[in-house]
Amino acid sequence: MKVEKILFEMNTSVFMDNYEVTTPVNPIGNAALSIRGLNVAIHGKPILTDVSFDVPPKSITCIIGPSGCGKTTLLRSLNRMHDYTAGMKVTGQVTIDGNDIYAPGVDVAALRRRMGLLAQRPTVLPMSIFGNVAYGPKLYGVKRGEFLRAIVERNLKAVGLWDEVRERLHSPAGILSVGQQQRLCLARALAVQPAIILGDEATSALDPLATRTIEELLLRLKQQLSIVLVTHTLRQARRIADYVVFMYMGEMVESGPAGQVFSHPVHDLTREFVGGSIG
Amino acid sequence: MKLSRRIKDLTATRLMMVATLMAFALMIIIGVVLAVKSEQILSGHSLWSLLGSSVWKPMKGEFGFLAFIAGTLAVTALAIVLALPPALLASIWLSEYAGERIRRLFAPVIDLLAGIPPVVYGVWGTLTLVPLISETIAPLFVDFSTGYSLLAGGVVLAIMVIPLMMGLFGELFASIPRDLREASLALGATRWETARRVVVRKALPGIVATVVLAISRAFGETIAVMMVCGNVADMPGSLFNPVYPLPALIANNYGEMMSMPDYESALMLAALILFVIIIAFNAISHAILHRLKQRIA
Repeated sequence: MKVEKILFEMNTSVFMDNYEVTTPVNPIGNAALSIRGLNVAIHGKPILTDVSFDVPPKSITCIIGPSGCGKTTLLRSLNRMHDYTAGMKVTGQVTIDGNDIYAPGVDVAALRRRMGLLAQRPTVLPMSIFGNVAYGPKLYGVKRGEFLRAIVERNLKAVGLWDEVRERLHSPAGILSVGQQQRLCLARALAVQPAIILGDEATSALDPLATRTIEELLLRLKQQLSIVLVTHTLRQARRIADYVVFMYMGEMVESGPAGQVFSHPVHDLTREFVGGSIG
Repeated sequence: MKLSRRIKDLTATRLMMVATLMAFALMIIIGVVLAVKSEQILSGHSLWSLLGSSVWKPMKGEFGFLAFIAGTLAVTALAIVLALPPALLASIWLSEYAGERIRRLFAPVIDLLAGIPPVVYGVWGTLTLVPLISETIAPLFVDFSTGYSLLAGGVVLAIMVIPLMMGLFGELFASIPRDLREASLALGATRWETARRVVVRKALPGIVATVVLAISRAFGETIAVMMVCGNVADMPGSLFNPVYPLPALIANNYGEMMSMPDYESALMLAALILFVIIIAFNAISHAILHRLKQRIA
């Protein structure tokens, strides 16, 4: 009961007032991700070689690069999604708050909870709209109906979905439109209070309008959290990125503030890619 | 288009349509034939007296089916209750935990087990299971059992439907998108929580369909059950008493009783009852499945 109350209060404080709060009330809100010498190989064949960069706090970091350059593999390494892929070997360091996520004995479930995942296509769980948002908090022991209801309402409001679904919270989540489903997935991720949101081409299945809604949400969310977004459209990166990481053939070619990478790229490959001649 | 091509197209279309209709017609024909053949016994006895009585004395003209129907239901229910938990758990382990290599090793084994002829399971049951029940298990609970019992029938049947269930569960779980599992894992769920709350839930309509198929299979299974269940026409009282399922009744007696029209007709009615139970059961489960799919979608 006590734990439940604490969890609930944490949730209320963080997502108050639709993210207008600027003071970092989230105890892990200042976390940034730091990647050092990351190598990923499948069955001995390298996919990522010696990737290093930092994800600055409270900002949007876009990972760009042509298809097959390892963007998604990189993103999936950040919350240990390769753990159950046979033949996949990950070496190097990924640190969040100074803790290496690949260190032995790490509580992987607790670690993943700190990084919300937004997949390429919305992945609503086979349950109600309410059930989707309440899924994470329930796992962590929130059982009281009133607490769950408050968490669901708060997070659905945070993604602007509350007014659209308040009358049918207990309908299957599958009845929502694709754009609504993706916002539901975002609400579900926020409900476990992540420090970081990982997005894997999170808008590629959406129409332009729904894409804009998600982008606006991400821009609002970065006041509270760090966002890492893999994107295959340069235009999206130009619209929302604060920092850019350019990947090519499994290697990190260049990273830095978006303005600098886009207007004064250091590396020839980057210049060609942002200029549109490769990719 | 050349005439010959047009003729071929037309012939193929018709042929395929006829083949499809034949499958449907066959079902109707079987039902009608069984009904016609059952008329003899139904003209002498009311249907309710036949279904409601458990006295089976063909020589005295008493044909009570209740013990057989109850025997069929008891053996089937026991088999499913015994088979479902291990089949489901093993399938979850294979799909969610075991590596690709183990999965590839097990798939043919499961198919092989499903393909073993029922009579082999029957022989195994008679040689191993029946003595085990009679000498070791039954004495713990009752004074005496020959071992030929409801329990023996249920266990043999369970062992037979487990590979069938596992084969279908395996395909079912493999069809569930990886994204869905990852969505759950990314929220901090453990693998077990993901399997239980997401994978099994998503697969629920398929799990129900699989159980329905297993039940239909168990209903009709004749030889293996017949060899171990004792075949005494009593109401099932304990796990260690013999039972006499409907298919065993038909198989044991058909062909011998041609001289007694009532007896032959009674066996036809037994077949008709089996036929109707299976159709009704499938219809009901179809409806349940439909609602389930809507709810989960």
